[in-house]
Amino acid sequence: MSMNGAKLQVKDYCLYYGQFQALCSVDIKIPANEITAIIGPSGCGKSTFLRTFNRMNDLIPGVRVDGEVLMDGADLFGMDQVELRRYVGMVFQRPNPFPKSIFDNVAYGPRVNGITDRGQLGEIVERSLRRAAIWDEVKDDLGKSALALSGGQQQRVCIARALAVQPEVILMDEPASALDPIATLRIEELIQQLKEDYTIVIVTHNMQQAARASDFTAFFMMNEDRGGYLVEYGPTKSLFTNPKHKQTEDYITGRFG
Amino acid sequence: MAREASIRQIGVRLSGGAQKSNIAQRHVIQQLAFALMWLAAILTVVVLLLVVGYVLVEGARVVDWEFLATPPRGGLSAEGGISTTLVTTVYLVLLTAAIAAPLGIGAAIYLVEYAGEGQGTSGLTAFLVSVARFGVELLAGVPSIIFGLFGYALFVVTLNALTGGFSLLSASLAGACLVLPVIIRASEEALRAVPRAYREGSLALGATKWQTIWQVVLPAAAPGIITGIVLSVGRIVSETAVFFVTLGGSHHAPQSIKQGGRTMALHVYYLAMDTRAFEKAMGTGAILIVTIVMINLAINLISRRLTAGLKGR
Amino acid sequence: MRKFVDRGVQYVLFLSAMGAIFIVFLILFFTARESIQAFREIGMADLLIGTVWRPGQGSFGILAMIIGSVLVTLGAIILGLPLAVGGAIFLAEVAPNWMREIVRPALELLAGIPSVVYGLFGMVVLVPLVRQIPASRNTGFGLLSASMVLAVMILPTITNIAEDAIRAVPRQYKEGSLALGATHWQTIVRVIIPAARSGIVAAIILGVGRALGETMAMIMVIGNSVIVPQPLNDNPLTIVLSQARTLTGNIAVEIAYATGLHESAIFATGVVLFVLIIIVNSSARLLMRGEAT
Repeated sequence: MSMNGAKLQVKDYCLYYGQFQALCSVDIKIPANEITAIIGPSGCGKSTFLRTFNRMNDLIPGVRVDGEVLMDGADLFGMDQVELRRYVGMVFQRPNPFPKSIFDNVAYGPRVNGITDRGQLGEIVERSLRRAAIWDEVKDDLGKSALALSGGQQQRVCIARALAVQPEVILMDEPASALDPIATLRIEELIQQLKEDYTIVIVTHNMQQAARASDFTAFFMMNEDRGGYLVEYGPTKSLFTNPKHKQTEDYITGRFG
Repeated sequence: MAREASIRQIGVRLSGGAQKSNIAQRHVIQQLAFALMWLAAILTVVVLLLVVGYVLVEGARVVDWEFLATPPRGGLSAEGGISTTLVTTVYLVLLTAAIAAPLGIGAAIYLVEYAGEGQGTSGLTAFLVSVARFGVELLAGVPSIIFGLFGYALFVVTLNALTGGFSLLSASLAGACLVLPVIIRASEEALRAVPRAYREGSLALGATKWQTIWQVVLPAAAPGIITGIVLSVGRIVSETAVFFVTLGGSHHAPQSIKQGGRTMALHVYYLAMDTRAFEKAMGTGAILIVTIVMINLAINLISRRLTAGLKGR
Repeated sequence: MRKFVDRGVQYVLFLSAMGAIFIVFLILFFTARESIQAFREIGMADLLIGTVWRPGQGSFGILAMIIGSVLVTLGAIILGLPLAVGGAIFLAEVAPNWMREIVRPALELLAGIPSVVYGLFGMVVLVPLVRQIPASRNTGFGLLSASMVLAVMILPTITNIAEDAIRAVPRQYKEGSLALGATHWQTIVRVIIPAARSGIVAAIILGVGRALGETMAMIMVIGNSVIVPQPLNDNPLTIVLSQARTLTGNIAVEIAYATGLHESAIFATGVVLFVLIIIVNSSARLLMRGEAT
């Protein structure tokens, strides 16, 4: 894998919840404008690792980190947390639109960043909803409560919401696991379209999804002390057809969960 | 600095670099807002310290053994202590609890064990029960002066012959109405918290419903029920309005339940308003506060025993 | 035999449960009965809108008391609300654990202090302070002193319920907002508080109910003059220095020596108070139930 085009770079990264080491010495380079999937058995720290990139782990009291995480060469932990989260967006496992209208949901990000002009907001909302492939379904009633939409629609509104602040990286924590198969497929198609303009990192427990939808895959495992570590990382095609480590092979072929 | 550089590096690519970040402004607003929140919290604590501190400090000057052991001289005189008021308060608490506790606990037992979920009551009974529940809610919201007014009309005036007019009995009856919702609510909660398994186990061994309640459910719910009773004791000690119009204002200790008197709380009022003996009022107030604090501590201790018991010690 | 006891006990307990309805019924019946004479002879209109309360001369208008109660409650809300809501937000979102351990018990203690002690403190400390304000006829007793005391008394009620409402807001909203690059404070203002709105309003309404029902502390600091509160001089702000009387105070102060029509009018005051508080408490309960669905 080439050094160029590394959007996110992680060097010797460890994370501790108090005394417990949740992530151990992770080294990885995540390329720009590609879809990187993170897979592994449950409890191995995939979500925790994902949340590193927008520093959502900082919300948990007693959390400590070691090592370096860089974005475009700049130290993530030296940046202003709040600003960082504008550039690194997140879509959650369970769709979590605010109890507000669709318009207000998508306009939320721009508004907190200081955009108040109605016209400007309207443009941003439309652009984001189009990008999230849901504009046609909601354009007639943007004032409707976002909670009145179906699960799949809510998730796409959440994606639009994240897009509205024009991030560079989008983190997705099992974005389709709470949705039915058809909605899931639409989300996967959407992700494929989005990679043109954004770097996407997606955590998934669904291996088929990782295999068909991502460009690169990182496989994490849990050690005896229940800490997570990176086993193997590479282009999806080669990791799935020709894994370098036995553990990877075992996991992919389903020999353990 | 390095931090500014990092943000700029990223920001450069964004929307043609035209969007100026308002991040500094937002941080300042947050700091200001949080400072105000801290102020609110600190002010609350300060107010408490002010009120309690003042009363305790001023009151401590007056309180000594003599204060506690001598009766007040009465009339407009500020002489004497508060011994009779202490006695009256205790009598009142005991009598009111004796009236309200059985009634309240009994009501709670019925509402939970006989009319609760899965009991299959229907028709008239179910209707009456829902009215009763509504009644308890209503009672809980009635201000104490209304209880006083009602107590005056019914117990002091109408049933004068039975109660002796302004008396311990009238006051206890009115006070019992006041604390009934407290006891019912606490007991209901305590009974509901008892695991179903206990009841089913007892019934499966051939015990009747009442035997189950008496020997299994009630002992298990005891801490919670006791909490309710202690809560109402606290209520009775600090309540004034109800007893103001039902107890009369005599500074003597009542010799029977058909005689009146004054509680410590009422004594504070009379000392302040009629006699203008503010130091003694502070002293009585200080004793009141100490009593309430001890009652609160008792409640906390019982609650802790309660949660320990539920978790299997 | 056991079965017999069982059934017997069931009936006894049933009667206990019905005791609550019985008492409510009794209260309503007696208060209504005693007040009927007043409503019939004085008339609802004169009673409620009349501003003159002079029982000796046959005038029984309680408007002055209604206004007194409303104004002192308003004052208490104005003074206490910022502290209460600020405190609630603080406890739910901003406070470090050790601070929570101090403020929560403080609130509990404040809630437990008997109202006469508050009244006493008001008389001894606040009233002389307020008297310092230069205005003729300012005795220190009046709306300002009473509002201050009342504000402290309803503070724990509002803070507790508001804090619960804020805590009840689902965590996902907070996470979603932060993940979009909003500051903690922006999240509180734009997402959490709006989501907790009906709970907070219910807290305020319950505080209002508590304020309307307070008796002893009010009698001790509000002056008890039966006048419609007016400014003391040209400055309209001095209305806060005016003495007043609350509905509750009217009842407590006069019931012991009132007879006949006078006594009936006092009961009528009680009915008005009762109705007022029922409306207030019901709306609070409706709001809280609406939020839960």
